[in-house]
Amino acid sequence: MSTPERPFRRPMHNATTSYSRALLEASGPVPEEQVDWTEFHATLAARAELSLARLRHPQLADRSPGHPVVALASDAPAVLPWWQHAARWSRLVVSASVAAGIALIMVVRSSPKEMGETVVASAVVVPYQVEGTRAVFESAALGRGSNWTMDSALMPSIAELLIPVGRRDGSR
Amino acid sequence: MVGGFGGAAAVPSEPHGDERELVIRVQHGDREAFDELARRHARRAFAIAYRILRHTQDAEDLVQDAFIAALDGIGTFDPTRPFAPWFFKIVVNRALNAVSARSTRERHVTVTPLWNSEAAAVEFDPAERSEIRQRFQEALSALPQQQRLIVEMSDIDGRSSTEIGEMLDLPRGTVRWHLHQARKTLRVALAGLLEGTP
Repeated sequence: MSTPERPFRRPMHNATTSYSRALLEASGPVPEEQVDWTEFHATLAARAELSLARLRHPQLADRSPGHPVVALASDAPAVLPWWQHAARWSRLVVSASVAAGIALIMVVRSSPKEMGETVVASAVVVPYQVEGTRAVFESAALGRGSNWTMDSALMPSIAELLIPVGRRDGSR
Repeated sequence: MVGGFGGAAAVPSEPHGDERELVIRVQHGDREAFDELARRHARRAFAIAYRILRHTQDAEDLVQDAFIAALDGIGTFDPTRPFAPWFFKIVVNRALNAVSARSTRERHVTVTPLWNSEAAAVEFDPAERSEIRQRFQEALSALPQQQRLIVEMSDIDGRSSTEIGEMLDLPRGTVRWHLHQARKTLRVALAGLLEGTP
């Protein structure tokens, strides 16, 4: 046994001697020699590694208690790559968008009459607006006035049918 | 001194400077410091665990578990206090819990295995030894777990009442009372033999 030992109490009389002997006999020694202390300490060191790592990196152990080994594997401070930030923000944005869409649908459904009038008014207004826009564009681009008709566009004008006098070449 | 008894070293009332340093280093996760601390206290912890459990492998496993538990809680430990009583208290509590769980399962008294060493047996004649064995095993088994542990730690391992009190979280006077009661019970069991002792 490697540990220092205190001398056993010296018996004061026979009764104490018998008592001590009997107690020793009944209790027996501690079987330290049956323990492989080298293996004991090796096993203990392996088991203690995780707890020691937590003590070395308490901030990481507090941050990610569910994945301590991954978090403690590196001595460098934890820096997240950009795609993890993007993924985190995209999750937020998608969730917010879905929530906003649901809210919009609920608003639309809550006031169907007002929205219907708005839609009809838009449908009525839009053809007139388109027609007017086209007329303004054509008159500006082609020089047509308010008396322009489909026949005037297809048939040649009188000026175009007349052949100028004195000119043989019609192209001039 | 009869060989084979572990844990007879005195537990210091105040931590040595190097042990305080060890504890502080362990609190920062120093592997070597923990190994050193474990080597200092493993054998005595095993002795305590074995005294309670009476099973070598169970005691070994329990000491390892106690070291891990101590490591998980060492962040809250005051390094100016001695480490050993704090750690042995963990060992004792875990061992008593294990015995309680075991007794709940088995519901019978386990007879203490006999010690076959010649060192103590040589001074008794066979008939006397047989009777002593029987009486003491019965008497020890009949003792409350805590009293039995106290009398073994005191009268076999040679620990003081103060040390035992620190380990079991009991006042010194309570330890001495338990010790007195246990000795009285055991001496009554030996009364016939003691009357015949020259």
